Amino acid sequence: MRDEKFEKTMEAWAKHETLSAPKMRPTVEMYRMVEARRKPGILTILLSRRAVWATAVASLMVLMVLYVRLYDPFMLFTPAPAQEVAYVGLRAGFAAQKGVIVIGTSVPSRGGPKKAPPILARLVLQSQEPDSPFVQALDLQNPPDQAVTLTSADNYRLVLEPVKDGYVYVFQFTSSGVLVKLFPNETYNPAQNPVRQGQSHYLPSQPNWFYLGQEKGEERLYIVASTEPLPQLEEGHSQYSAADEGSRKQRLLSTLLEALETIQDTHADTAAGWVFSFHHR
Amino acid sequence: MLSDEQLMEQLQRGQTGALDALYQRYAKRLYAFCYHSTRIHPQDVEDLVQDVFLRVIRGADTYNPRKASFRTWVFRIARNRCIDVVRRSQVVQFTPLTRRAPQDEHDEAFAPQVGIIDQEEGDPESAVIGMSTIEAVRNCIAELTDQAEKQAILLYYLGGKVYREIGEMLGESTSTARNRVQSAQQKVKRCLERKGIHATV
Repeated sequence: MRDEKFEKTMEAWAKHETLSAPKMRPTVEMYRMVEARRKPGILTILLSRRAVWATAVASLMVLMVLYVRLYDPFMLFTPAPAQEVAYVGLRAGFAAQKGVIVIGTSVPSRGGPKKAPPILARLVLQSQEPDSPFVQALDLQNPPDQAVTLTSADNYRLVLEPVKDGYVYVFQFTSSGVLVKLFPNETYNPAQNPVRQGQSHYLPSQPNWFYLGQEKGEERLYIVASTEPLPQLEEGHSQYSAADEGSRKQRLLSTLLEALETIQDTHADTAAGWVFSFHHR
Repeated sequence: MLSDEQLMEQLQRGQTGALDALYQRYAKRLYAFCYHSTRIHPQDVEDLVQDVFLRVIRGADTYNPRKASFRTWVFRIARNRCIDVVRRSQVVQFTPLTRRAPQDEHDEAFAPQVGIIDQEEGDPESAVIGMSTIEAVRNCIAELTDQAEKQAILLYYLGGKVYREIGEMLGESTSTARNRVQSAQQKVKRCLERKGIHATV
């Protein structure tokens, strides 16, 4: 048999076998499987019963949240009673914030730059009382000459705005006799030195506020702004914090407080310092 | 007309029309291939073809037209399924050397008694073939003892005459596939000559 004839025979055989095979159709299951691969259109999704229900529930929840936030009909956002804290606590601000009253005088503060170039454009202590709809703002670079009093129920925070990049250190010497480092301290604000110019830094970071512990007395805020880093302050505070109660701790505290209070003399060309005292009743 | 690969793309997107088209193009060829590979009951062959298409649908996401044509892919699935079926059923076919008459109803079912096929398509002369020749070719293919050769010649005539694709379907190199097909062709040709099919066409 010639190759050509053989090929024709085989081709004819293949054609016959193919055409004489029974007629077959896809099963219903196959159609279902293929249809299941179809991705629903956006309109189908939007009009599905589940989507309508989900939208309705979500809208209701948003309305409830907005309504309570705006009008606080059930006083849900009344601040919770302050928890017992040893020195300086951290909590959310009061909801009734409707404005800021700035209190400031032209009386020079105890501190501020002597020779150093101005570093802070703004250095403000904000406070709010639970029953007051206002926030009070004290310009610490021009503080009032009358005594300032805060209670454990009040909130307070610092607002700093550097006029140039620099290093800021904030400490609070509490009425309990403890020196707390407020900045740099990730517990209160994630920012680190050097702070950048033109940005307002809230201490603690928003929306948090500080509140005072239960121990009454005088509270002091030490704020140092410097064009150069002052690692001795941080190292001094680390040693002080790590030290056991006793005479060594007191020595370290005295050294540190003295360093803070004399920073303008020891670093006259590069640093400025402020000490602000207020009563805690 | 859409290519197989375009139809497969449509099937991947859930268009049932593509399934119909692919079924129309390949179901009968797969049927013939599976029947001659396994020699099982025609009804079982239909189930086998359905199973092949179910696997095509399930594995649609894994199909990559850049790796293989749809034809190669579907025949490879069919070949693997046929091997599974043969292994599972442990069917061993002993085909008599003499011309085999239809022995049961499924032989009858597969081979219609009309020996003239599809005169509307292609060359009428080549389309006309006697039933005795068809039977002879069937028997000769069934007599191929080397399963790989048998599958190679079936894939060659039923799955398209591309050695590279046959190699991919068999999981072998192109040259091995060519050798298998040519060896099977020689055996079938000699077998036909023994059966006196010299001037059938």
